[in-house]
Amino acid sequence: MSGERTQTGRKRPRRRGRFLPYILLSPLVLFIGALALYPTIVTTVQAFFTVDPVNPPTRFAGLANFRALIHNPFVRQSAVNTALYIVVGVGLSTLFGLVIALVLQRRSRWRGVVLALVVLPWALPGVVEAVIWGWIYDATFGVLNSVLKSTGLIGSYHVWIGIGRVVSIVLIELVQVWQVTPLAALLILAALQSIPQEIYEAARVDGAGSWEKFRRITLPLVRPGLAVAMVESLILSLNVFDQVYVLNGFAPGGASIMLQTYQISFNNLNFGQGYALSLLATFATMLLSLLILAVVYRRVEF
Amino acid sequence: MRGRSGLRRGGRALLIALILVWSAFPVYWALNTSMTTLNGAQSVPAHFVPSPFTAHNYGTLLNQTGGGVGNQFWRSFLNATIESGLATVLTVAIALFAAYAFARLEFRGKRIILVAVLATLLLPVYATLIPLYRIMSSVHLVNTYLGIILVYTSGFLPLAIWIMYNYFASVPRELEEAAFVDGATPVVALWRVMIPVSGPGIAATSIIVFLMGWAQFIFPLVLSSDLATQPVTVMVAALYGQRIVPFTLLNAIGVLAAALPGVIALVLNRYIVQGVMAGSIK
Amino acid sequence: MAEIRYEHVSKAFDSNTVVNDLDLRIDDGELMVLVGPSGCGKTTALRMLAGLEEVSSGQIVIDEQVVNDLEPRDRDVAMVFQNYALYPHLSVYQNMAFGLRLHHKPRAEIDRRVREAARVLQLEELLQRKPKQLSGGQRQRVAMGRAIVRQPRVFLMDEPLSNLDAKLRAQMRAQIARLQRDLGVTMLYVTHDQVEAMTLGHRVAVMRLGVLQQVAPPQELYRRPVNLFVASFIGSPTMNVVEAELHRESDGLRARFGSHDIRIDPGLAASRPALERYDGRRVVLGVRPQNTEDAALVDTGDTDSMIDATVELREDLGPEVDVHVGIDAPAPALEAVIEATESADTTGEAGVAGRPEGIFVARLGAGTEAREGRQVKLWLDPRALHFFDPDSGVAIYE
Repeated sequence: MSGERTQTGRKRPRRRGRFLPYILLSPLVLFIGALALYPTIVTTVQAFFTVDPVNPPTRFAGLANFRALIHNPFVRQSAVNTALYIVVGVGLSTLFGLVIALVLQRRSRWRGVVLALVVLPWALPGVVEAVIWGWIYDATFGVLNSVLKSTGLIGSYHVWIGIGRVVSIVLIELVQVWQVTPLAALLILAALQSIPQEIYEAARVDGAGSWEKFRRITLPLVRPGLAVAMVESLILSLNVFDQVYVLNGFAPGGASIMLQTYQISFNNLNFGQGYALSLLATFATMLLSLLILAVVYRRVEF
Repeated sequence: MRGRSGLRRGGRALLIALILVWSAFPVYWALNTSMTTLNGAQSVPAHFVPSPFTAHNYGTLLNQTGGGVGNQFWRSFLNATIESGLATVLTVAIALFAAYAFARLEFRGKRIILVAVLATLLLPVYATLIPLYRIMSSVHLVNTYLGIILVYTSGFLPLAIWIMYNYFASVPRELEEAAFVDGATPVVALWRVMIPVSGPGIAATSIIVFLMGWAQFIFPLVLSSDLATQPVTVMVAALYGQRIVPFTLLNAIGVLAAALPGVIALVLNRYIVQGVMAGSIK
Repeated sequence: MAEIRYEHVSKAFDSNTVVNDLDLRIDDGELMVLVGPSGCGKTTALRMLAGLEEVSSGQIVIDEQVVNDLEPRDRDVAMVFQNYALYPHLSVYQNMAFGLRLHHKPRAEIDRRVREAARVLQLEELLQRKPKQLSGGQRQRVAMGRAIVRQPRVFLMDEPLSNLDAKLRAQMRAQIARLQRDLGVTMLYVTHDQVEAMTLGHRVAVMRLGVLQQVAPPQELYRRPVNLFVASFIGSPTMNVVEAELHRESDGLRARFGSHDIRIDPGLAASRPALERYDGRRVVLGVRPQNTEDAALVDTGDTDSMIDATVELREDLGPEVDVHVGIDAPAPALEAVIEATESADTTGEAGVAGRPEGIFVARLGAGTEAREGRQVKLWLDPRALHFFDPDSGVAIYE
């Protein structure tokens, strides 16, 4: 008798509609499958093919695409550029984000207003931001020149973008940093706020000063937030496109890998090489993300 | 002692001032430039308030006669609104049901599907850009709203699900159990309890997704080549690149293109903060 | 109105059996309390009856109907949750009306029932408020109201008072008892608090590690616990236990522990015939703190029931004094005994911390002169001794 009942009971969700979850999930699975996973597979596979809509058919090419990329000086230069974008982007947005988060952590009358304004740059389209900053950087009428000259920091007006490679890249990336910093700040702030106040009080009773509290409590405990913020800004700076496209066009002095990919694929219609470069960039994204997580992330449980 | 804390407070105020300047100055500068004449904008050294003041640039944009810049601008503005608006509706609807299933129902394959969906969060634009263009062009959805909306939705879904999933997971299970005991089916419990209770989470998701849609550039750049579907970002970039529109007018366009997301960010700020924080650390 | 039967009900999560072969009958109109330390399976047992948890084997019967495969909504039960689970987006009125609306009751009847429940629970002023605007006690009453308006066959209460402070808890306890009596509804009430269990239950079912230990009216549970676990769990402070050896002398059975040797009341021995079999053998001897007294305050020359002890701690309760005393006797070193006393101590409301070895707690009259560090002569009521088998922990009666 009890054997009979084990049959009806047990594991199998007898109630709650057995098909309900699958019905609820089907649109999602359709979208993600057809428009995210499938394209990713296509990219991965066709990176090893010659894909040229002007010159069909698609045929297997082995590592030819990758070899062509490695020997393409523009691609190599864009890789160096992108590395610089990443260093500037991850470094500055994490630093600024941490500072802003620390300031916002303290409750005060102005916190709401400050928070609202801090989030603003994140909400605006990167293209529009680039246009706005482009005018600020303008060589003849830009406010940057104006301020630096009137404070005596420069003797005469500079052309900021398009001449010096490092300066161009730093300034272009600064626009992206402006956009990404709010996100970094919020992620770090969330981590800060998850630290129980009592820990600080305990540390104070134990005789820790502000600096010790920051170094021995805040910094270690905020690492999960830092890690996520750094991965976010890594992905964005590795993908940097809008700001470069607007401020520097396709000039090799500032072109990013994303820009190269766009050019190879949609201007030169060499989709095979586009796939190959995409695949390399995707791998780079994942590897660097894992690297950051391995170095920075430490699980914290309260 | 008092001297030190006064110093500290002063330092803090200075830091806050710096943060505010950093966050708001570029936007202010665009506003400033957009409200003056070309001569005013080109003065050396720069004027920090619009002088002379004029609303001429906005007037030009409002004047929609002929195929002028104003006409192009409003069309692209409308395109962006339609594309991000509909993508938001679609994304949030799909994400709601899926996130509920992930957060509350038990079924075979749950972990695998969830991990697969969230893994796409880590996929960079690279991974899908070219194939998506080729798929859309093969089904003749290039230069259509539908094509852009489908691509946006597929891109936004993972994040939307992550935020909603975390929100649902934070709703006490007993709330639904109370509904079950009160006589609800799972669908009724979702509809009458879970969704109403999750209002702030749904708002946060919708706002974040809409802003992401409004900011899109590279996908519409690839997927729409004419004004029929080009969103405002593509239009602005094109105008900037052509260097034929005066800077004052360009800044006015920038201000208007930033106005909608900007106002949303300022007014509905707390939902954005909530949403970002909900999906942040796990 | 309903009678409920658990018939050989078990619940396993993976390989972990949470409820093991539960057999329990709750009569129509009875208030049954399910009590035990956390993790004993009591909440799972309740949730299986509600339909929120599936039954792994066995069956649950409500009014001769097997409900194993019924959805919660089809069982006609109402439940009050530990954290109340009020719908935060609905007003008090809507919270109470929610279930009735789902059952498509006519609007007028819903209104009548909600207002009636609000009157009984003194919620009339609060009907338009949202749960967030209510105090803990008010939320608790709304949760009760939501159950009452349904007029269900069975009321399920999952630790409904554990989030209230002590004073409010006592008030609500009385109100729940009154409501249950007035409505005459069958109620299953889960708690970890033995005071709540004893004061509320018509009968109390004690569970431990998924196994039902004893079902009995409160007084019987207190006086005739079936084993060491029940004996230790019920009653506060926890029953004192020592390892003793029984031996028969000319004046009857006696128990020797350490340097002490006390006489067992002949009447008690006669009512526990099985004790004879333990003559010359070890037993676990139990004495409730309430069954001890300062010998100086006892009007008897019964020196056979007195032991010498050293006072280690004195706790004045007002009408009584609890003293912790060291006695010269080994505590039972048996695993089962230690586990039973520990689980009772950590979950008992009185907050008795794990009791160190050789320590006895005695509840003495306020006139006692026992002081820390001094000697005291304790009288152990010879008619209120408990005996347990040292190996199985089972109480020794017939």
